[in-house]
Amino acid sequence: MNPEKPTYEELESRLTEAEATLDALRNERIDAVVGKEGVYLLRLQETEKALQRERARLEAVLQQLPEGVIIAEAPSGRLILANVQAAKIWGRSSLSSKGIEDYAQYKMYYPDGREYRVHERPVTRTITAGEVVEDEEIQFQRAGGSLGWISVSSAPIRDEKGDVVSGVVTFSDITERKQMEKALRDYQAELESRVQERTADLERLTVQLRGLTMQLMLNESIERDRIARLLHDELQQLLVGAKIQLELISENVAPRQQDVVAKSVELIVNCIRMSRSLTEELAPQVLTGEDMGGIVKWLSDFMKKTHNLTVKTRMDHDIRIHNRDVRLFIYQSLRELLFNVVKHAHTHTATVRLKKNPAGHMEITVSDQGDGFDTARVTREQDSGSKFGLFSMRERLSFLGGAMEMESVPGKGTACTVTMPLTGRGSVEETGEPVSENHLFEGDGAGIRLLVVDDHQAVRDGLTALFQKVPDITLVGEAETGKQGIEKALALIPDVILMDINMPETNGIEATRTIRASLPEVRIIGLSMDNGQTMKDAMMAAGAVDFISKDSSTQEILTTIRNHDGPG
Amino acid sequence: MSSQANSYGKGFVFRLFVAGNEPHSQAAQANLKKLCESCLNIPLEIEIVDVLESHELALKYRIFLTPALIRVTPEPQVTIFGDLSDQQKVIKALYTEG
Repeated sequence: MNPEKPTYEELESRLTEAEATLDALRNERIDAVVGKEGVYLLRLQETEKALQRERARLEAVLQQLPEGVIIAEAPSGRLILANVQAAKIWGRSSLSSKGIEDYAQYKMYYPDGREYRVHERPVTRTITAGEVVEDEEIQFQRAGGSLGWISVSSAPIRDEKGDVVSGVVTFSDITERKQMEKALRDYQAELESRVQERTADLERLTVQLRGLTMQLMLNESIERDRIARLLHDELQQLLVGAKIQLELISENVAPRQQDVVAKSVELIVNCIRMSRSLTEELAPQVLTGEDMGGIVKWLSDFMKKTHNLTVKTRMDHDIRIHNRDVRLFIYQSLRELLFNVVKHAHTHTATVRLKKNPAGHMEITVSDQGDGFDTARVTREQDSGSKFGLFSMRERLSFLGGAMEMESVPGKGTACTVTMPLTGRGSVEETGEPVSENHLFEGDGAGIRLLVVDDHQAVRDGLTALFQKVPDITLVGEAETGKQGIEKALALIPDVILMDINMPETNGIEATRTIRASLPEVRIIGLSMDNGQTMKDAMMAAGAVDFISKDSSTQEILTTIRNHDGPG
Repeated sequence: MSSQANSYGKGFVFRLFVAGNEPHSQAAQANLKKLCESCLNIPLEIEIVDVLESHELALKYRIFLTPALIRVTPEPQVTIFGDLSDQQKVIKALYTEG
C-alpha cells in the first residue's frame, strides 16, 4: 500500500468512514470529539439542547394556559414571548413589540377613562423598576375597537446578580365579570333610588298628615273660639239684658207674680253663669289680652283655686303675643304642663319662667321639685288619652317653628321647656272688629251723669231702661267701643262711667287708663261678664274705682254707682 | 445466515471506543451487548477503549468521534459511529465483506 497514493479501495473506505462520521454527527449520537490535543466532550452542547427542550416544553405549557402570558425583555421591552391566549384576548393573531414605545399600539385605560401611557403599564413598571403588580384592573381596546377589561399581574425575572432580565405578565379577560358587577351596581342603585323615592313619598305623606293634623287642631281652636265668642258676645249679653228688663218689671207686677219673676231672674242668672263657665272652658277670657304676664297670672290663680298648686312666676320681659291662636296654644301648653305637675310630681309648688332667649325666641319653663317621672311613659299615656297631650304640643310647636324639651329625674323633679319664635306666625297682627254706629243720648243733667260703654246693644238697652227709672242717675251717653268711650268721656265729662272690659279696638282697661289720665275726677266702674279677680285687678290698676259683674242684680248695679257719687 | 457463518466462522474482533461514562458511550456498550446476545451466534472478542484514558489509540484507528465501533477482524476494518441504536444498520455494516 502506497501512502502517497491511496488505492481506490482505500479512498472508498475513507469515504464510507467520512459518511459514517457525518451521519453520526447528523444523528447527534456522539459524546466526544477526539483530536491530537485530546478529547473534547460534547456535554455542554447537550445541556444547551436540554435547555432548549425545556424551553420548548415551557412554551408549550404557556401556550396551553387559559390566561394571557407575555414575557418582555428588560430593559428594552421587546416581547420575547406572547402566548395564543394573550393574542386572542387582544383580538389579534399575534402580539409583538420591539420595545417599550411599541406598547402604544395596545390601548389601555384607567377606570376613570384616562389612557395609560407606555411607562405606566404594568409590564413597563416591572421591567424598568422591578415592580410586582397584582391584579390591576385595566380597560383595553381590542383590535376590532371594542372595549374590554383585563386583570393584569406582572413580576420581574432576575439574574444571579439580581438585575431584572425580563418581566412575566399574566392577564385574564374579566370583561364578563365587570359587566356583571356593573349590572349589579346598576340594580343596587335602582333599588336605592326606589327606596329613596318611597322614603320621600313617606316623608311627604308625613308632612301632609302633620299639616292636616295642624289644620284640624287649628280648626278646632277657631271653632271653640267662635262658639265662646257667640256665647259671650251674644247669648250672655242678651241674657243680661233680659235679666235687667225682668228686674225692672218685677216692681210693677202683682205680688204673687213677683215670685215668678224672681225665679225667672234667678234662672237667667244661672243661665248666665253656666254660659260663662262654658265660655271660660272653651276660650278663657284672659286670652283676649296680649300680655303673657296676665295669662300666666290668671292660670296661677286658677291652679291655686282648683288644684291647690302654688305657681311661682318669673318673667324677665314684658312679653306680648298678638296672635290669639298662639296665645291660646301657650295657655293650653302651660295648663297641660301644670296639670302634669299636679298628676305626676305630687308637689304643691311649681315654677313658671318666661323669657326671651338670645335668638329672640320665647322660652317657657315649667319646673318642679317633685317626684319626677318617666317622660316616655307619660307621653305615651297622654298620646292615647288626652285631647291636648304632650304629643299634640310637640306637633303644634313644630308647626309654629318651636320645640319642647323635657327633663325629669326620679326623686328630683321635672323641667319642661317650650321654645317658640316670637316672629313669624305667632306675631301676626289680629285684624280689628268692624266698628258700628254709636248712639248719643242726651240726658237732663240731673243727679249722677252716667256714660255707659259696652259693645252689646242688649246690655246697653237694659241699662238704659234701668236708669230711666231712677231719678238720681242720668244717662248722658252710650258708646260701643273703648275708643268711642274715650271720645265721649272727653266730650261729655260724665261723673261716672260704666266700662265694659272686652271690646273691639280699644278694650275697657286701656280706655280707663286713657280717660283717667285726662279726666282724673271721672269715676270709672268696670263691668264685665267675667267676674274673675284678674280682670278686676287689671281694671283697678288702670284707674277704675270699682268693678261689678254683669250678672249682678240691678240693685247692686245702682248701689255701686251711687257709692261713687262725688269726685273720685 | 449460514453463508455468513461460513465466511465469519473464525469469529469477530470488535474494538469499541467510548468517552468514559458519557450517555451515548454507555448506550453504545449496552446496544452492542444486546446485539451480541441476540444476533451474533459466532465467537467474538470485544475490546473497550476509553478515549479519555488514551486517545492515541483512537487516532491510530482514525477515530475522531465517540462512541465508535471498529470491526477489527475479519478484514476489511469497518467503523460504525454513534450509540449503535439502529440494530439493522449495525448488522448490515458488520457483515460488510471486503
